[in-house]
Amino acid sequence: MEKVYVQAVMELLASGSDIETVLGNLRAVMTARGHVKALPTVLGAVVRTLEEQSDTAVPSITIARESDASALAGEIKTALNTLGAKGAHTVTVDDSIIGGIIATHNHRQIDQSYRTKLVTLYQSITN
Amino acid sequence: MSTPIIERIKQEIASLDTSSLPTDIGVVTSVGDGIATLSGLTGAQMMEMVVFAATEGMTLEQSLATDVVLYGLVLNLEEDVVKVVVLGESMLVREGMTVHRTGKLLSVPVGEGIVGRVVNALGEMIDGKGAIKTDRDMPIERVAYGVMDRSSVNEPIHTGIKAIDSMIPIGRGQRELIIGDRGTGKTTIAIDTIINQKYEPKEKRPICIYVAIGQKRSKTANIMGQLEKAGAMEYTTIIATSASEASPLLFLAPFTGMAIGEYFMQQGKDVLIILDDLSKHAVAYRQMSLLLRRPPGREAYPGDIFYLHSRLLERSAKLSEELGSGSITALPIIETQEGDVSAYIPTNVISITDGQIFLETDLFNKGIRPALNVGISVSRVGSSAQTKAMKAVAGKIRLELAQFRELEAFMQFASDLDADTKARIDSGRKYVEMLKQTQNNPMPFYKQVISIYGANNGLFDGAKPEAVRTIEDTYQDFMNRDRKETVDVIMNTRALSDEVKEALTKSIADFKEANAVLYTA
Repeated sequence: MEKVYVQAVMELLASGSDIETVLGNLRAVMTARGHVKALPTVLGAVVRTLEEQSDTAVPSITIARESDASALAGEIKTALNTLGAKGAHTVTVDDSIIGGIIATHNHRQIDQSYRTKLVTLYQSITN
Repeated sequence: MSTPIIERIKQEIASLDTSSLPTDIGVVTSVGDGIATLSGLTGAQMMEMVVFAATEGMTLEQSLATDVVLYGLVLNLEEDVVKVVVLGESMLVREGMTVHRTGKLLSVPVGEGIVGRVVNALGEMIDGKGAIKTDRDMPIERVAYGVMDRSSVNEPIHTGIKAIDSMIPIGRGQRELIIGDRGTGKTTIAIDTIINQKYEPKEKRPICIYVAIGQKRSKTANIMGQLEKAGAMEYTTIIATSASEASPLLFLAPFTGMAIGEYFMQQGKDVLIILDDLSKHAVAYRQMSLLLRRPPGREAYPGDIFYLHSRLLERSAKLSEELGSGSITALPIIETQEGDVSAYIPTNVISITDGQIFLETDLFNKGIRPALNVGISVSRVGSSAQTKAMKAVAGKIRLELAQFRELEAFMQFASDLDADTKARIDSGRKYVEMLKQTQNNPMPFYKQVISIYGANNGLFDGAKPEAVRTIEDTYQDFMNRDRKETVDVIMNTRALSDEVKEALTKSIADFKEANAVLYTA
């Protein structure tokens, strides 16, 4: 049941309907049907779906140091092109990757981090 | 650092895959009871292996210290999410963790090196004897061979148990169910069958695979000890899953066994696989299915429980000559409750297999071991695979035992019976005594033929039933010592010619004359 409400809300928002109107109508319909108790669950699911969409829709780049953003600009550009990402991207600094980049977009990832390569090398030698 | 190590590392670096191809990833949205729900992974396949990025966010040192790769198996493809069973420590999985597709269906590494080893459900060694040298990966799930790829079952696999090899013969490529209550000797029959393969010539000796599904670790260790002691581990692989492991691993174990078996079968070799036991396998699958929220059916088992076992056992086959004539003989085991063979899982597996060996608690308690009920045990295809020698002697024994069972009820009125009935009961009791065997003491087929021929031709006439086993043992020693040439002929030709029959009959007369004391004791 909740799934159907979430789907309806997502479709209305995607078609450009006003958020206030959608939420008002949702509450009215759920109240009329005696489903109002499920409203928090439905809204929670809508928020999760929207967050997920924005997370995956915006390309993200992970680098080890801030300076790598410019030093590895070429690699970042190639990775984003390979992933079909256009427009702006977010940059996260994570020193645990040691070096290189990890590019993520739309549930696809290119992992060129030094950490992954070193772990792979270690595993292939020790196994 | 020494030069070889440097060279080895350089070699690895040169062959290191540095491609920048994108991989599909998903994100864990929830996890519980060994089941992870993932968003993303839209292109995932059923039964595909995925890898949880368990070392995400860790430092390099921590990543290297965590040598466990956490795999998952895609089992539910739903509209928005993918449900994955975690093949390992599900406590390591957390919400928001990245999961990578591998693009590979679940497979196990296989090779000649796996023989003699103990592995887990994923084919990883657990016997502490070092890495297993493997040649290739075999998919755990695959469609069984078709009709045209198979040939009929025409070669015997000897269990070393007189009652089975004579009356319920099993052929290479057959599926014979061993069914009975707990503690009736099901596993013992399976282990004796493995041990008996040491009497087969090396080139015809099957590779044995023992799959322990949800068994106690102590039991598996005990079985390994028995096999090692008997010298049977050198041609045996044990796939061990214990009751404490996650249900997906128990579910995978027999499929892993079959995948390993298929590797050898494709090389034209014969394989014997013991699935101990499918009752526990069904329970593990039920648990997994309920956690995956698949609709429950009878006894809460999922609707595809029959398909699960039929697709597993259908992979046991005898391949055609064009495909190398390899075979997989399966001996699945089912544990019944209070002898109820009409329960859901027993009836399913009975209908899938090519015959059943029924073991009964009553017989076991009476001291008849193996506690085989030969009246209701059957082998549907094995008789065409029986050796000529065994066929020649086995016909009478079934008839004698059937008559004995009919008259058994009158045994308590023995004094009132006529001479003919008394003789039949006496003969039946001697056959029952002769068919008794102790644990881990399988008998090569030629010795079985000699014993059964003797029983059919007066070897035990004049003796008390209690003396049958002593007479049999002494007669076997006599044959091995004084009539070795006759024994060798039976062993090599696997048939009973008129000359051999004549020699055996004469040997019985000579033995009785020389050992009269055994008949008066």
